[in-house]
Amino acid sequence: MLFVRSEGKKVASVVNVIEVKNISKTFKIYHSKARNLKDLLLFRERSTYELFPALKDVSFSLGKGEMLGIIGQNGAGKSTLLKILARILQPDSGTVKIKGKVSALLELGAGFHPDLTGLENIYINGTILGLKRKQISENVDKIFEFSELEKFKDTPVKNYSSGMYMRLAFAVAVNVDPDIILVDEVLSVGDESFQRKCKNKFYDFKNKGKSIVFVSHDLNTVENLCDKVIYLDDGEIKDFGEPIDVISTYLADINRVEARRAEEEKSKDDGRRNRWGSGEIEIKDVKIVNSKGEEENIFSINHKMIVSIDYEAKHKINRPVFGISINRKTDGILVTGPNTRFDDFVIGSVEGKGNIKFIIDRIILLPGDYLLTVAVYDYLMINPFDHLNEMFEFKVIAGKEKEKYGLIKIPHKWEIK
Amino acid sequence: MRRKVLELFNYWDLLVNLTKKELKVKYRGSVIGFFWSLLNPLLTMLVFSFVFSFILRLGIKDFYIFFLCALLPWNLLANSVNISANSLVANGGLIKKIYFPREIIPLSIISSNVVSYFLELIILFIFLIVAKYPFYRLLYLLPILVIVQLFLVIGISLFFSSINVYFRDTQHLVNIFIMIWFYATPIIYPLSMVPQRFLKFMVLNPMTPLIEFYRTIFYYSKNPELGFYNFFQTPGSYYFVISFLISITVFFIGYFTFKKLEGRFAEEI
Repeated sequence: MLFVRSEGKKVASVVNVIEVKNISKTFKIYHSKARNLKDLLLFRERSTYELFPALKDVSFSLGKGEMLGIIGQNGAGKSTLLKILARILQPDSGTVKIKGKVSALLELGAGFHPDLTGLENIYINGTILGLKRKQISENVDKIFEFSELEKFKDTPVKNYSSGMYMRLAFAVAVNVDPDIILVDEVLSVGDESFQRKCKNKFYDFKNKGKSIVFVSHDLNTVENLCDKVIYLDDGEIKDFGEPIDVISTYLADINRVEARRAEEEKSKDDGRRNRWGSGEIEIKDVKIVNSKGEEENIFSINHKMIVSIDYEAKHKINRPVFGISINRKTDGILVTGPNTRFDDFVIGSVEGKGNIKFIIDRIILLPGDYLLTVAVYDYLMINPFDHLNEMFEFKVIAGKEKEKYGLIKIPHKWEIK
Repeated sequence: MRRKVLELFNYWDLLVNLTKKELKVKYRGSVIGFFWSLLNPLLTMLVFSFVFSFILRLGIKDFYIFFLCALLPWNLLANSVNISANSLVANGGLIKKIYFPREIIPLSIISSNVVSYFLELIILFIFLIVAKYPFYRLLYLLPILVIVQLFLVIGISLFFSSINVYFRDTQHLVNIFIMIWFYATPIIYPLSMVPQRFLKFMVLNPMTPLIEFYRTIFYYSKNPELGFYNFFQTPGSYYFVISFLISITVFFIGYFTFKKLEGRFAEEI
């Protein structure tokens, strides 16, 4: 509870359990090996290092019973922030105020000793997490029940499988009965059923009014569980607020970065893939554009995508057939291959320069990378004038879409009686 | 600082558990287990007793008792300091992942050595009883000696363990330092053999009065007037006070060095 002093009286204002003000943290990244005595005696600094600002002037607060998600790309400072909250690292400047008992699940099983039995390790790990012996004794049965390891109580943990190890570690960590829980990507380990168990435990915690700080790359889980989200970028808070808003800001940034990367790859790949044909009609340029008419390589499901093809016919050619095809990049599966002839889109003849557009009102491909082929053939579809095989690439991302099995999102609805 | 000490108290159970772990892990898997820690000083005693009773004849009566009652407290210091010097680095995985008062790690090493020390003392008592030394007369002084010695041991251990995080050569230097210190302390020889001109330096070694007092309690228990008082020709308590003051000073230097350096342990390990 935070108290604000006013005229000598203590007045309860906001019930904040975590209050972070203007914290910054800079790491020294050394290039050489650890400094040894020789350097010390010669009064030498370790030869070369770089300063890496991991956090820059970060401030936020978290209320009791709230769950905070922290998202951001690798190296954005998420783990550093979590370690500062866990008191493992100290900030260079700024203040951190925390009310209540903190349990940090930064790495499960840190402090397990391989030679000791499961039971002995529970006591050691429990006390490392700040429990009293008595509290552990009361919880031992619960811990073994949760981890389903009763039979292996007296087995040294070095003989545990990695799954058993994780289960025991998680069981200890969540049975500490903390007020604030810090979680760093632990959900990403273990099998499906273990992950489900973890998530359920977090729902439990939330319902009991505990505060949780959750670092994750799993945006769906963050959106489902968290009340507030921080988006860290290069050590700064880029966005803070409602999950759905912050996540879309984050996704928009990711898209921009991906687009740039795709652009670079495209220029590298040009000419490497196959192109064949008589050249009587030449495809001069192919652009993939979005609904606003801007060139784009990344599309969210259900968004509009247009393939714009510039061509030039060397002489008058009757009834050409334009076609495209889309293959999934990972396995080469042909997703679709429409052309003007099958669509009864009749082109009498072409001569000189022109442009033809292939318009997809709503792209219903599931998230993934796709390759685009553009071609123009004669009416028999035997002789190619120009065939640009898989020379273009685009990406479909989930956006807010959750469906992920298969190839397409088939238009559908559910009914229940 | 008061808050720090209170917090340490909250982690008392952790200290107890880590101490148990130290003791368990050390001997797990060996056939005679914990008896190794007793066997080690006994064998050392046998070797030295043989050398100094039959080869380099110092003419000390019951050399094995003379030696053992100094060796055991010395081992408490030497083992604690040597092992704890590297303890923070060895437990880096823990320090990087979980918060707890960092001094718990060297302290658990020291307390496990204290446990070993008390068990070794039982062996010493058996020897003393068999050889008919009335050591029980002055035994009430023993806790005072142990407490003063612990201030010294904790101070040195905190100092070197925290320095070692930043300069890994420290642990090797500590080994050499302890070895030299062993010979600079009257453990294998009596203080009476030390030439007068070295004596005034030897009392600055806080272990000297401590070892002499241990001997007064155990070895000189048959005729205590041979003990500490005679060697210095002045009240031994005077030297004991110096030893105590040095130990306290070392303790605070070690503690504040540790506190100053602990903030960046997780980054430097």
